Amino acid sequence: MLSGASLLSFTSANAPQAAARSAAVPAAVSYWVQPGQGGVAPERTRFKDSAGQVEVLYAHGPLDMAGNPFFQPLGTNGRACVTCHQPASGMGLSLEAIRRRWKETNGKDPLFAAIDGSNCPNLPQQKESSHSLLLSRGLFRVSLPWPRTRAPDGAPVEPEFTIEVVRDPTGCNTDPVYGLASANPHISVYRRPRVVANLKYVAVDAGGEVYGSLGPFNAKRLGMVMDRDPESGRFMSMNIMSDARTPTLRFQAQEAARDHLQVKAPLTDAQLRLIVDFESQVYAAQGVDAVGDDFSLPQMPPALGARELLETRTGVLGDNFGTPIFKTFDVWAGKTGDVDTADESAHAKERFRQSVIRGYAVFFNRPFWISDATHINTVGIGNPAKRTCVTCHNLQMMGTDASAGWADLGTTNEPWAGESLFSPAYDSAPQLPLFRLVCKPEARPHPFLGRVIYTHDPGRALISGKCYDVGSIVMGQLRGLAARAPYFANGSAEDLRAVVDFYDRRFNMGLTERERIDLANFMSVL
Amino acid sequence: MQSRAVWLALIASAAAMAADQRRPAHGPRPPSDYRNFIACPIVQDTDTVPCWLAEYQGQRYFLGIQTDSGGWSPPWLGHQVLVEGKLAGGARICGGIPLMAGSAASTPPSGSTDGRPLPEPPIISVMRELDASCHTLLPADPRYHILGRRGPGPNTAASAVRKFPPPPAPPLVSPPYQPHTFTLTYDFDSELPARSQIEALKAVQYAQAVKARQLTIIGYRGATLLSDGTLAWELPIIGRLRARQLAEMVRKLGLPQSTVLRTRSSEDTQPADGVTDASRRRASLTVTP
Repeated sequence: MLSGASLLSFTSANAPQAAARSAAVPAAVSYWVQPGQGGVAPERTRFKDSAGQVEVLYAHGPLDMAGNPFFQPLGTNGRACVTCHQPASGMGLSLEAIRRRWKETNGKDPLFAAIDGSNCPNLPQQKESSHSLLLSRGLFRVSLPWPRTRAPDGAPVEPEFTIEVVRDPTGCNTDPVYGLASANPHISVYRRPRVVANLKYVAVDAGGEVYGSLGPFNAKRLGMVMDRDPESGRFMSMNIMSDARTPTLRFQAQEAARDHLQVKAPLTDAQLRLIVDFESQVYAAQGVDAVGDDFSLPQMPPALGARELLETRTGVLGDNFGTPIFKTFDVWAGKTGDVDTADESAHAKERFRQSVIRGYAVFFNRPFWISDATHINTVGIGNPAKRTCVTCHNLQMMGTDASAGWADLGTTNEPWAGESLFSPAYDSAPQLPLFRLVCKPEARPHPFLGRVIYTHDPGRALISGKCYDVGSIVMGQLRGLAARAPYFANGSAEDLRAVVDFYDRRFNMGLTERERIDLANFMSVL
Repeated sequence: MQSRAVWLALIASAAAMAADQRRPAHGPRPPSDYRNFIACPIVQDTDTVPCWLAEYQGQRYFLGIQTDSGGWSPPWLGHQVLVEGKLAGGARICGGIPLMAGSAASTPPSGSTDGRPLPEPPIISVMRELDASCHTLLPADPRYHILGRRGPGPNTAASAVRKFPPPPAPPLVSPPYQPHTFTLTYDFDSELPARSQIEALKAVQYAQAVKARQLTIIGYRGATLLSDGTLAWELPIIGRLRARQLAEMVRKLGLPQSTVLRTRSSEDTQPADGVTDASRRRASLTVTP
């Protein structure tokens, strides 16, 4: 049973040229996959999003959802993995989809489960206000033990800092049951779900295919050994979760089943294998721009569309003129003279395409001063460094970091975080908790914030226990963006323009209005 | 009240560390062509990549240029930097007297200026604590022409598909096995062995090959003789931090469970000479079969 969907929304990728010759872009509609609904999903499906249509491609062909635990309610709260990784959101979850789901189910969907779909499980769950972070910013509660005593691989962790709750608008961090002072002390931070697609670029062996790794060592001058896959013993890229706490998809699935699906017993090997096999063959990218056209048509930039993600090799550094990050957009260049002067839609298409090309040029080529960003300025390029966006967003086709990609851009740490008094996004009634972290005297301090740090989410530091990791978040991929606003791990950028504005403010880039529009247009076609 | 107490404790601790770090030297100074000093770095922009400079006793010195990660690590604004270098000779670069690496190995030249290769950069260490007074960024000056191996934009390298060489092959050893010591070096006041971490892997491989009975890690605290005659000691705890960090590293690299791991710290016993001091900021791993 498809909720609010029509089978007409499906387009077979077996006949891309047929679709390309068709004058009409396939009708795409909103679509929510309910756990356990069953049915067969075609090899390629497109869904309407804010810029056109996102497409999801199953490399192994049509998918029997009834036969895959990714789509089954495995736990006690009725959720499946797909609940928070919806195809219509490019295998992430858009705020628009969350709000629609609340409205359609009057808040009864398993999506809003008390454990993490509300601000805190102790709140009255029938109230909309108890789910305000999910409904306003797309944020789920992530509850992590603190102080942490063991790393995910079992190695002892000795936290280098103390945490004090300064502000607790959700009440969860000071709650006697769920809070930091409870008998089972946990910290609650609030994060967006990550994308379950294109994972051959993300969940990989650090020794072979990842450009930025140095075999077993983290390439960011940390003197740190990468986490291992506990089964194969291989060193992993540590780019799956926003705090890099799970080395493999299998590990992540087991943890997510426990924490988000509330399973009673660990998943079986067979279930894990099916989930990981499914996740490893899903690709998602923008497939159609409402103005710029269908990217499966001939004469389209080669990096666009989900199929190209399947067919391109991984591990290629895109911070390179020889292998640019999103290949070339040359096929769109210089066509203005060919446009029928009477055809306004053709003009609009050309204007949009030229804007995308300019946006790509800014992203790839325009230097600015990158400053005070831990795990960027500290990796050997100096602080500040005159470089470009692609310095960090460097893995070809993905725009993630080829190294283990956690960095502190200021999205969660004061003074740059969205809820700062210094931010134009400042809200007089802050929604996120605020923590005061004090580094112990022996600890290496945060490189640019020192020994006392105010943050909404310590990020990687909640796993590593290191002061220099406070506020560092693993970079998310840049594909299918238009299907899954808002952005950043804490949902602080409501749209792509807000992402651009954040970077402009954070790094004093001095972007012109046209550059901002161009960058947002460029990101929307990825 | 509690936070005030924490602050006071932190300030007292920091003051104690600072006092301990600088001790007057009564011995010889570094050779006259060496420049060892702690100062704020300065960024001098150019029309390509920026230059890094620092001032000492009224003179401005050229340290190096912005590079790609993996080469020389430029300083950070917001922190002072320890410079350990030697006069390189030749004309000023970006307005600074060029310094070069002294006896300790550093990295190859990262570019050229006016047709001359840049000198091999001096050794620099970013100081651990923040210093808000280090914030000088000078605008691009048309007189300075720097051609970096890596510019501010994307790389021009032909291939971006890099397969790192495989880890060093496990050593071929046969009885009778001998104890072997591996050494890692560090930046001043740092416990992160960014440049020599491969030695830790070699030590673990050797321990595996000889089925080592014991691995002993000693983290050393060093000192640098500055050009003004003072002795800059590293943090008193740095030897312990190095040993602890290395212990974690060798465990994760696969040190055999049967190998007893012992750690301790020590002060360097050789007097600082202002020439070889960087090589003695170190930790040793001794594998005992």
